[in-house]
Amino acid sequence: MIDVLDKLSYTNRLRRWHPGTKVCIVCVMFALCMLLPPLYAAPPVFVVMVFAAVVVAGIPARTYIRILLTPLGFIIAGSITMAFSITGTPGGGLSIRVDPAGVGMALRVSLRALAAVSCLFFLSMTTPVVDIVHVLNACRLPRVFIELLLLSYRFLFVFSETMYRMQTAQAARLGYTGVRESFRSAGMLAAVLFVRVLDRVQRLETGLAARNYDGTLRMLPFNARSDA
Amino acid sequence: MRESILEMQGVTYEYAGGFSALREVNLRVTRGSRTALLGANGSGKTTLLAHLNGTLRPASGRVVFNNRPVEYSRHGLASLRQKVGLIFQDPDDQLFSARVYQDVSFGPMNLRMAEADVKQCVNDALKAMEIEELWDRPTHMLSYGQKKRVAIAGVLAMNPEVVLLDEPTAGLDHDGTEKLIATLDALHTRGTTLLLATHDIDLAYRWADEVAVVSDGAIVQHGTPEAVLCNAMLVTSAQLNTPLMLEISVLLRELGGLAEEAPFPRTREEMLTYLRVLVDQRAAGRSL
Repeated sequence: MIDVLDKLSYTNRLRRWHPGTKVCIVCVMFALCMLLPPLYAAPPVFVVMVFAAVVVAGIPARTYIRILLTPLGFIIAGSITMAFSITGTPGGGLSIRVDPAGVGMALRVSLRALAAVSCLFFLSMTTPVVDIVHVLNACRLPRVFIELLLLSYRFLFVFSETMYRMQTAQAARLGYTGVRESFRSAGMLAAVLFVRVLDRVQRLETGLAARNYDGTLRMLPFNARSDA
Repeated sequence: MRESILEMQGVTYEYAGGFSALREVNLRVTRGSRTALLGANGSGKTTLLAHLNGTLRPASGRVVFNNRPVEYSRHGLASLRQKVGLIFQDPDDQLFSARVYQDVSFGPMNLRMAEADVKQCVNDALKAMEIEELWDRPTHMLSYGQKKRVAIAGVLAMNPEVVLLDEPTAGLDHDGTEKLIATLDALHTRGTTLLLATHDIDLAYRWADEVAVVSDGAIVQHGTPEAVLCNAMLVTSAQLNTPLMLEISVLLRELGGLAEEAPFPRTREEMLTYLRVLVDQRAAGRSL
């Protein structure tokens, strides 16, 4: 999923918009859906942000829905627990019933969450991470924070690629033919991935040391252009 | 004898667990030379390179750069690494930034140069590697060959006097390899000393001025490619084979097709040109 989002952020129609503009739009919409009553504010925010992403930026609707399914799952699971209330009965048993107040709350929370997700989706689907970093830099965010963000971003791809390759290799040796095998393979994968992560970090550190790394990741700011 | 720029004197190194990786290595790298470090997998090439830019410190013996023993202080290592660049086999070990331009700027920025000078260095390095158009690409979207070129640019941007390359052609296709060799030749013309570790004997033969064979953690022979690689016993014991062009040349000489003092054609193109001339001469009625 991360590589789908990343690819979209580089290829969408709003790619050349100034990242500051996009961040501002998202912040305003986000504030609206957080501050105003969700029943009135959240649906319009959601509609506007989905429209902006799908129609204006040209994100394929199918892709949008597919990516939306993940947070949607969490939202539904969360609101179900809010809508029902469990109480102990005098007889020592438990009674589960629909709580009218809970239903209202579940609705408000889900709407707000969905609208907030659509804001974040708009930003992550239209703005490459380096552009966002550019804005964060302009906001004078501490260096350490930005370095960490960039390193995690870079490593997400190294790891997802490693994981994907190992998974393919396991599948090629019938590691995922049944439920039992799948659990076993996934467990082994997680263990090996952890070791690989440590190894990678160490190797990268050696690689950076060869270019005089001393603990600070110095590099040109992201607004520097090659033709400057 | 020409001046040496980088030397290893009796260097011994052991990995944790007592596994001996280098045994009494003596190596002289001549200034401005193109040296190939030839060896099979696991022979110690990478460990040897890691000593030459101070990544590893010898257990005994010493590394000498510009006639001065390397100092392993923070300052000493920094000045060594500016002048001796190491390019790792896996470019992912070197690339850390989300974007090409920023990654290449890392080395020069660490040299505390002014921003304008850093930009100049980065632009020159991108140009030397012919990847100027990749400057704003995210590093994870590059192909393997492109990553490799960016990793090399990151080292060239520091203007090193010596460039160490660990298996630079591994995983590259034919075009990628040819392009890389052309880049290395351009660096050589500019006076950069190049040391290239490889197990590709044909590459070593066509490209290098000097060949050093590493076997089981020791340098077993060092000299001109012809002298070293003609030694069949040595080559076999180092788990390598003789280069095809060299074998053909030796055969041609035996058959009288190549004069005793004539230089051996080293590249495929040289060999083909030579054979064409030979065939033409023969067709013209002259003896072979």
